[in-house]
Amino acid sequence: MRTIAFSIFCLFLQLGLAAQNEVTVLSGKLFYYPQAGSNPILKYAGTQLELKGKFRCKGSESAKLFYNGHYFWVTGSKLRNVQDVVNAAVKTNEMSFTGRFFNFLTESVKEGENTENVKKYHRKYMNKSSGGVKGFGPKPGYEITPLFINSGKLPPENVIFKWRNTTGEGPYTFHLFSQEDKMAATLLVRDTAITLDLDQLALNLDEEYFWNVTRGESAKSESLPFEICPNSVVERQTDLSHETAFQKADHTEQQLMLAYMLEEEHCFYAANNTYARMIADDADNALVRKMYASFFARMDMLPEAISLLSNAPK
Amino acid sequence: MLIGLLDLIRINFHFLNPFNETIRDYEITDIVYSRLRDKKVKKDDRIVLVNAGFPPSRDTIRMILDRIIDDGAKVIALDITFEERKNFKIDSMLLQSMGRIENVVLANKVSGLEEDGITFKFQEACDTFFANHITTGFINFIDHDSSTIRYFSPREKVEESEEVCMAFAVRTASLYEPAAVERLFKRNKDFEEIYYTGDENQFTLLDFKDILDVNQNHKTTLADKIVLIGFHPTSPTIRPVIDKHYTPLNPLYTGHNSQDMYGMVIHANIILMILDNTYIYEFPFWINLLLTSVFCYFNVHLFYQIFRRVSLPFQFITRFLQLGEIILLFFIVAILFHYYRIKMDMAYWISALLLTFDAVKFYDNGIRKRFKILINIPYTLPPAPKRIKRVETANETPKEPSPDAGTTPAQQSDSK
Repeated sequence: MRTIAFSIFCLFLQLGLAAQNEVTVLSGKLFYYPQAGSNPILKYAGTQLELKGKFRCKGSESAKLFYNGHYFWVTGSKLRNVQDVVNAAVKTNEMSFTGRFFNFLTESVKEGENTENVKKYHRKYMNKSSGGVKGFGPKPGYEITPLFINSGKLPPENVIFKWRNTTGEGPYTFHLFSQEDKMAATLLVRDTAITLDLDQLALNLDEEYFWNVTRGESAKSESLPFEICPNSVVERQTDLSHETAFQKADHTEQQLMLAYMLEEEHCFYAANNTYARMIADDADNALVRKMYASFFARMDMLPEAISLLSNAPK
Repeated sequence: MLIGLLDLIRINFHFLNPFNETIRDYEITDIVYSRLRDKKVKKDDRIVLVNAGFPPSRDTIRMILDRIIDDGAKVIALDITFEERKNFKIDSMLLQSMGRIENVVLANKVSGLEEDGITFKFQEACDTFFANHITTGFINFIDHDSSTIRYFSPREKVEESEEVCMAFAVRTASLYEPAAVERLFKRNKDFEEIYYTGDENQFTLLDFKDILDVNQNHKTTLADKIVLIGFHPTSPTIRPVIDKHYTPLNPLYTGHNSQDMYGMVIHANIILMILDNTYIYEFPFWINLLLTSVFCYFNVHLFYQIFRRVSLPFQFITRFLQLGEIILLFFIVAILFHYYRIKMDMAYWISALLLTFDAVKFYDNGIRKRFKILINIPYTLPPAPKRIKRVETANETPKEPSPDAGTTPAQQSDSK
């Protein structure tokens, strides 16, 4: 009898511990990777994901997660460890009711002092709020501009990394490194492009890496993130064959829809290749030109967009 | 008596004082809700929220309704008003979907209050095409001048209806757990104060696109649950002010603040209150009066003790005492509400505390000296503290005792 009771107790204890090792999705959706190299599992509201493993949100969407009495939002398609995100979000210094009460009283006193401080030292309080919205423009501080199509999900084969030319002498230095700043490759390059077979490099699937370019002492580019994503995974994520609209569309329209879906899934390199193939197949198609040009504009490649529209056949 | 007299004179000076205007819609329990409650969220697994988008398309509602019914939801409550017929085909299909299960609740409103102030004339905002076949509940909140939503009415009499009309949340709870609503009606109250357990973060929130997504299986999430369908954006940043209200959970409990809770979540909180039987208890008037009298007596006695012993620093000491007692009273109100859901009105207590100082001084310096009968009433003070006996040495001569030995400063002034 005692053994049975003890076994039942252990079972409940395990269930309780298991429950605490899971994060619940309250709203939104994300892709969960239980281990490195595994296929992504779609997690949506009401489902759970374990603390071990990684996740990313779909495109620029957000998801609200819940763990051990705390909720937090996650946004963006950056691949992250579940445990790291939970640790960062659930920083608890849980106070008792009495602690919260006295904290509130002391805050009330400080708030009274703060009003006087605002009058005396008004410049200190001019950082938080402002009227107006952000405009678009080049990011400051970088002399070299990498092309955005070489970010996001890249295929595990030959990839051409490109950047804009900049004034200066000497070769460019191409750097490839991991999230922990561990250098994976450093190459001297004469031109503004380099072709790398990512399959040959010792890079892990579903891990985020960065690349940037420097020239001389001072000129450098922004670090663009990327990850290697097998073609089979990309095909699965961008499968539109079940969509009625896709089934009814003609070949060109299907390719445009596919290119858009690839862009949504941050497969910018594959999207660019899709548009390039369409232009090569049908250079006179005005719709394809315009769609490709708008894609270039979104990738911050305005000279390419202008060239495409200017060279349109009349 | 003085407090009661002041209470009778209610002069509205709010137009002269913007501070008054700010705190008109304020109760001390708002601080408990917004600043003192435990930040840990207790997730509820009985209610699921579904965002139908805005404006919600009837065809979309029909499709999500079918999916939710197929996934085995126990009660489906649509916090959406179908005020008129739009398209016969779509409306018929929607009605057909609604009729697939019995436990569907639609939203309507009561309006046209009669002269008796008790009965409403009409139920509106739900076309008879739907209302004649599907259960309804009114979604009216008790809201004075766009203020904080604190109360709701569980049921109302409507002329055109034979039955008593239930509130939307009450009707939903009655289909889920009838015994819980019987407990509510046994309380026999015209209106109830809403006990808020939390905001939308205690519920699972699905978007209509999630429901319609064939790659998502929501059976485990929706089976045997109460599903509330209405408007609630799923984005953390895009939060339009549509069906959004002020509640006591607002992080800013006074002053400039924005609406903090969508209507659907307020209904969810009411449903939880009914199911969990977590109503707010307020002391009846006679208990309040008794406690105020005891508190008042205690303070008068305490202050008078201090005044008779140490008349010079009396003001200084009593001001500190008043401040300390106000903080203590606030703590008691907060802890009673936080742990036991007991709401106490401390206004009279604080008035008694603030007036005690002046009342004691006025009585002792003004009233007592004018009426001989009051002077003759003996006021027995506690015995004076014992003097420490000094041991006389051979060189010291014994001192003669002073005529005022054994009396307090107040008694000395009386004798003069």
